[in-house]
Amino acid sequence: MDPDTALYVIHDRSGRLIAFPTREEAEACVISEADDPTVQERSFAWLLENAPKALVRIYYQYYWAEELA
Amino acid sequence: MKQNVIVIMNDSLRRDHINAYHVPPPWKRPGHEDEPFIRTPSLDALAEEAMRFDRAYIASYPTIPNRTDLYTGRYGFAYRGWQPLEPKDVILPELAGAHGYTTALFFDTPPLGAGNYNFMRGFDAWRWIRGQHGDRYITDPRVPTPIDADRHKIRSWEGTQRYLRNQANREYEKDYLAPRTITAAMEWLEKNYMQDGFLLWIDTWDPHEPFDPPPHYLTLYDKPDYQGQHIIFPQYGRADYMTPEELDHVRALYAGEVTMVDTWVGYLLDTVKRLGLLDNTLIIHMSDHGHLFGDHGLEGKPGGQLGTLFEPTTRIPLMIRHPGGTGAGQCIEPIVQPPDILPTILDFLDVPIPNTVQGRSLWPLVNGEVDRLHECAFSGRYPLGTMYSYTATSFDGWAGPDRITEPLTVTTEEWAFICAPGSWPSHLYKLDQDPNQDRNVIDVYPHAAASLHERLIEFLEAMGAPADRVEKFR
Repeated sequence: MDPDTALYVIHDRSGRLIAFPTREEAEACVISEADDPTVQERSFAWLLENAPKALVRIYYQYYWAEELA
Repeated sequence: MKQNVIVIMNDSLRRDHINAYHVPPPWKRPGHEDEPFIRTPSLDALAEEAMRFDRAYIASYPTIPNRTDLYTGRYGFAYRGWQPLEPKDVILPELAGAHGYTTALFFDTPPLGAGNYNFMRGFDAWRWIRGQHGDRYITDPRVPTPIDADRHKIRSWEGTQRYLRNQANREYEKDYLAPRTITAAMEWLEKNYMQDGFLLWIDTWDPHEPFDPPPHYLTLYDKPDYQGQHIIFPQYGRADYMTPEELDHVRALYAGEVTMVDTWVGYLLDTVKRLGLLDNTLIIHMSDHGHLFGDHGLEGKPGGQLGTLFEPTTRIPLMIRHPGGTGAGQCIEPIVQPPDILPTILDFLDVPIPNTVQGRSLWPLVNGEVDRLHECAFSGRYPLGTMYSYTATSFDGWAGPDRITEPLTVTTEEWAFICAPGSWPSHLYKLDQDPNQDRNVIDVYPHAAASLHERLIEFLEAMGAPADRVEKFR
C-alpha cells in the first residue's frame, strides 16, 4: 500500500484502530459507544508508524497494517 | 440389478470436528472442559462401517471449484477458477444417467444453483432448498433482521440481513436448512428406493457460515454465562478484531452447526437402512474444505497474502461405506483428493471412466493392489477473473483482490510445502513433527522444498495450467 494512501479510521470498543479505504465504509461501522465515535482520515504511513497492528479492512478481509507495507 | 450411490457433502466441515478422526481438539471450550469437544454420533457410527480416509486433501478451493473437481474428476485449479460449468465439461450425473442410473440432487448450497452456474445439469431431478445466505430469495422489508454485533465484525451486513430475512419463518429444528435439505432427500428415497440404480447427491451449505444453529445445539458448546456479541458471519482475515470470548462463541456456534448436521445425516442413514438400501448402496460422506477459527491468527477463508492453505483448510473428512463391507472400520492412510471421487463412483457403478478424468479410482488402493495413488496432494485456487468475482465473493467469501495469484500447497505424508508466487516467501512444514504448522523449516530443509517445488511445476504442466500461471511459481 502506498504510504500516502488515505485511510478512514474508527475506534472499536477497546480503543483499537480499525481502518477502511473509504469514509463511507468507516462511517457505517462507527460504534457510538466507543470512547471516540468519530471517523478520522489518516495516511497509511501514519497508521504504520503509530499502530502497525491496527486492522485494515480491504479486499473483504482484515490485514494488520504492517502486512500491507 | 444396478447398485446405488449416495453422496453426502457438508460444506466447510473440519476434519477435527468429527470424533471418528481422533484429532486432538484444536482449542478448549470454556465451561465445557470435561465434556466431548464435539458430538458427532451419527458420523462416528458411519465411520465404524466405512473406510475413513485420513489424508484426504482438497484440490480446487473453495465451493464451486471443489464441486467442479467432483463433477469432472479434474484438478480445476490448475487452469480455471470459480465459474459455471462449461458446456464441454464431462460430468458425473450425465455419465451415470447415460448408463441407466436415475440421478437426483438436493441442495441448499446457494452457488450451485445461482445465476448460470447450472450444477443441476444432468440430474433427472433436483431441488434447491431456498434461503441460505446470499440466496436472493425473500425481499419483504417488514421482516426484522436484528444483528447483535458491531458492524465491522460482520463479513457482509447486507448479506446477513438477507439471510435473516430468508429465515424469518423458521420455528423448529426441522425448519433449518440442512434439516430441510436432508428431509427432501429422505422423501425422495421413499419414492425412489426401488429404482434400478440411482445416484443421489445431497449438498448442504451447513456448517458453512452464517453460524446459526438451533439454541439447543449451541448450549452444548457455548460458555454458559456468555453475554457478548453474536457474530454469526465473522469477517475474514486477521482474527483479533474479535475478543477471545467472542472467538470462543463463534467456535461454539460452528460446533452447534456441526452437531445439527450430524443429527440429520443420522436421520438420513436411518432412512437408508429402513428402506433396505445398505446392501446395495455406496455411501460417500465428505466436505470441501475447512474454515479457520483463529488458527494461525486467522478467521474464515482469507485470501491474498493471507491466503495460505494450512491443514485445517486442506485436510478434509472423507468416508466411504461399501455395501459389501469392504474396508469397514479401516483407516486408509495414503493421500487421496476430490478428483478421485468421480472415477471411484464410476468404477463402482461399472460405468467406463472417460479419458477427460485426471483423478484415479480409489478401489485399487482400497483393495491393496497399490500402496498409494499419489505421492503428493496439490491444493489451491485459480485467481478469479472479474466476470465471476461478485458471485464468488458474495457466496463463499472469496476474499482478496481479483486476479491475485495465491500460494499453492503441496502435501506429502511428511511435508506441507507452501509455494508462494513471485517474491512472496514460500514455507515448508514438517508435518510428522509439527502437525500444527508452527515452524517454517524451509531454511533447514532446502532440498526437500526444492523437490516439492519441482513436483508442483510438473503437476501444473501435466494438468494443463497456462504457461503464465506456471511461470508465477517457478
